[in-house]
Amino acid sequence: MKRRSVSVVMATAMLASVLFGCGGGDSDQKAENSTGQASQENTENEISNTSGADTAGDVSGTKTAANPEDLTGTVVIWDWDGGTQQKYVDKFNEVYPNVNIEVQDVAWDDYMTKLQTSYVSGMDLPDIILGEMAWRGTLFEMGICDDLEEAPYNLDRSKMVASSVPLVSDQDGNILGLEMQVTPAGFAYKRDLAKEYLGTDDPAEVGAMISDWDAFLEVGKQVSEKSGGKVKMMVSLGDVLLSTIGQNVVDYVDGDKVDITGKMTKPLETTIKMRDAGIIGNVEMYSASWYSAYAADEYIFYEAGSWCPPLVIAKNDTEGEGNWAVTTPPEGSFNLGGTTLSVYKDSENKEAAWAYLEFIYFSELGGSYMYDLTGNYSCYQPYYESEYSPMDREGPVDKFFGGQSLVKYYIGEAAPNAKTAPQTKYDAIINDVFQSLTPKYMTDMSIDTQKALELFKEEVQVKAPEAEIQ
Amino acid sequence: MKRNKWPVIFATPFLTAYGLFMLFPMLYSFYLSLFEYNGIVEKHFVGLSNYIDLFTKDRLFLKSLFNTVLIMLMSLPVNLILGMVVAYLLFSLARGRRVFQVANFLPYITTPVAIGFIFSYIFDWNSGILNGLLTHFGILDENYFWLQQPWSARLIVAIMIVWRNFGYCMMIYLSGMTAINQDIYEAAAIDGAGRLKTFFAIVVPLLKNVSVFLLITAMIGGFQMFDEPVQLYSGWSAASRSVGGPEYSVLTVIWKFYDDSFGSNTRLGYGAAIAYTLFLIIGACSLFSFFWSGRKDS
Repeated sequence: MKRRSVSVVMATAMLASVLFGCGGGDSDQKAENSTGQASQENTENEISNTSGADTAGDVSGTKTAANPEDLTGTVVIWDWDGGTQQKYVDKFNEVYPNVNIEVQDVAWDDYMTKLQTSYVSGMDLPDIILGEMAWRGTLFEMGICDDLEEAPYNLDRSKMVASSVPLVSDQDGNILGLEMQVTPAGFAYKRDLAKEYLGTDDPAEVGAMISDWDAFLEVGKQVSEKSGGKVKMMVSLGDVLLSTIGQNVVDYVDGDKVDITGKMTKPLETTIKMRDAGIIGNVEMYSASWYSAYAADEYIFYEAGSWCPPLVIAKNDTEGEGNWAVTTPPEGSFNLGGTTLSVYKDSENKEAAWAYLEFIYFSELGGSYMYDLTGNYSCYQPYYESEYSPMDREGPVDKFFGGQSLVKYYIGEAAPNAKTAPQTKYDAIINDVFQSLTPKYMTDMSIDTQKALELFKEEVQVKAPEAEIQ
Repeated sequence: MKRNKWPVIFATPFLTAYGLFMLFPMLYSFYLSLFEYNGIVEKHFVGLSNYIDLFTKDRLFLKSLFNTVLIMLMSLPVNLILGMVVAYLLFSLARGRRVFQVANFLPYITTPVAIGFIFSYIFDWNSGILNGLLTHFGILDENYFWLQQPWSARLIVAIMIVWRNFGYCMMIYLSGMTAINQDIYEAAAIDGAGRLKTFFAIVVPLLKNVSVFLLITAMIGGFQMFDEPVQLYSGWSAASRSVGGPEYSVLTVIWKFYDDSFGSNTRLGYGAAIAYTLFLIIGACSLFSFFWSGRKDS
């Protein structure tokens, strides 16, 4: 009898070990990041202005506030840069002590896969979902994000920085997320090279010299001549193509009809023209050489979204303090990168989730926290006219940019003029195809605009077999 | 007659786990492969049309199958031959055998991410070691874009596979050689057979079963090729991230399955059809190798 009991216990233990062995915890996911949106651990300038409960009442003006201490609940966020998010959470909890925000690290690379598989298998999704530009359109088309203009959120779109509105909207114009930060682009450049080859390092004058792509081409030829071909205008052809895709804001998706000709002809034309003129470097975008090129003295201009100065430029050109500036790209600013925060439609803690989003990402005080902690620019427009406005305050990397006020450029000049469009899943596909084809465009000089366009269409068709490519 | 229940009780935990985590997913995958399903909208029964589309409409499936077989043909024979030759050299090595054994086996236990980094750095266009050496010694005038030419991309993936796996083949062969009766080696030596003669007349034929085992397992592993090309083109070390590399030249069947199911698309039914088709191909190849080796035996 005793032997039997032992056997049963052992059998149960074996079964249990097999079953538990198959389990896996989300919390084991390592925080990793691969885009410029990530790793903002550097600035820890906690502001002394700690808010009290009374401040929370009018942080945004989009919702009448209850007593923050009465709000309870647990809100889960999946983020690839949990460290930065946690700093915001700590600020939030000073005012909302009874809301528990759980920041769970999910690698950038795995984010969409994990989200989709969790959704398909009926597992819990986070209350707050991040939508990086690389997959935002796909996320919005999944239909799992709440419209933030509806109750209980009641967001007022007029209070959002205008260029951000399309970027957080689906094709029907519903606002499905808040921008983590406003992300208009500029062209950063090296002051010493600009002085030597353009005759000036003044942002306004340099911007005027490259007012359009034809002017950019001409300047490039002169630089090439002056330097004996050593100095190029930009590092990679990918930089040109990415900029021109961002600039060519057209309504190219109509159901399953995708007008790649309309969307890509102009960008490819400009890119091939730049390639043929030999004014762009032969470096593969996002390669180790591309990053090290920030410290090289062979390239004048670098594509620079608002997040690039602290996260990419300062980190890759550690000796370059004071030698950088930023100006308007040829033919104007455009959007580069960015991440949205959306509320899951089946979340059981929508009010708490929104309280957090509103407090940090859509309020004057939240904007101020962000600016001081990370240098991010809030998408809450009234922040820039409020007592917390950063417009006359020195930003974390202004010194690195020779004292130029980056907030004045990005918020004052670039954002109001940046061309932006609502996101569809085809934007993510175009981004994939752009990355896979650029090396071919760079190396195969026989590819002209027409051929480049054909290749692009073919690739989009492979990735979206259901689409009718035009 | 009293039936003994203990075997059943002891087998139950395994069978339960197998049923839950292996059998059910396998059967459910087949069921899923008959539907159009992206996980969000309702499943829509399409019968065998996912399977038909694979061979008629999808230009990348056959290409991915071709790539997989091609890279396998480029790497598998080298793996086996190199494994056997190095094992034989080590087998007759009097000193330092263990050091070489460990050195050759290390790549097998190296994480694929690290392998991706190593090869990305070697073959990088602008800063790669190989281009640096070739241009330094004047063999190339300008850097060659190894990772963006279809054939060199395939070759690099094949080299990665050989570099990683031949140590494993070597270990298995080495254990096989140890198992051969020492008397046979001695008899051969007395008969005047040199080392080369011993290798071809004794080692190769007597290790036939080991070779068949390695061939079949390497083939199954080869059809499931995924880590190496993905790490090269989509991993942390990848520069231009792209699915399938230049002109989809290193897109393997499993990568295509992954990309269609969880990457560029969420076509779960279609992905299941790819998985099942691959299952049938692997099954057919394994059976073929098995019977082929058996026929030659008889």
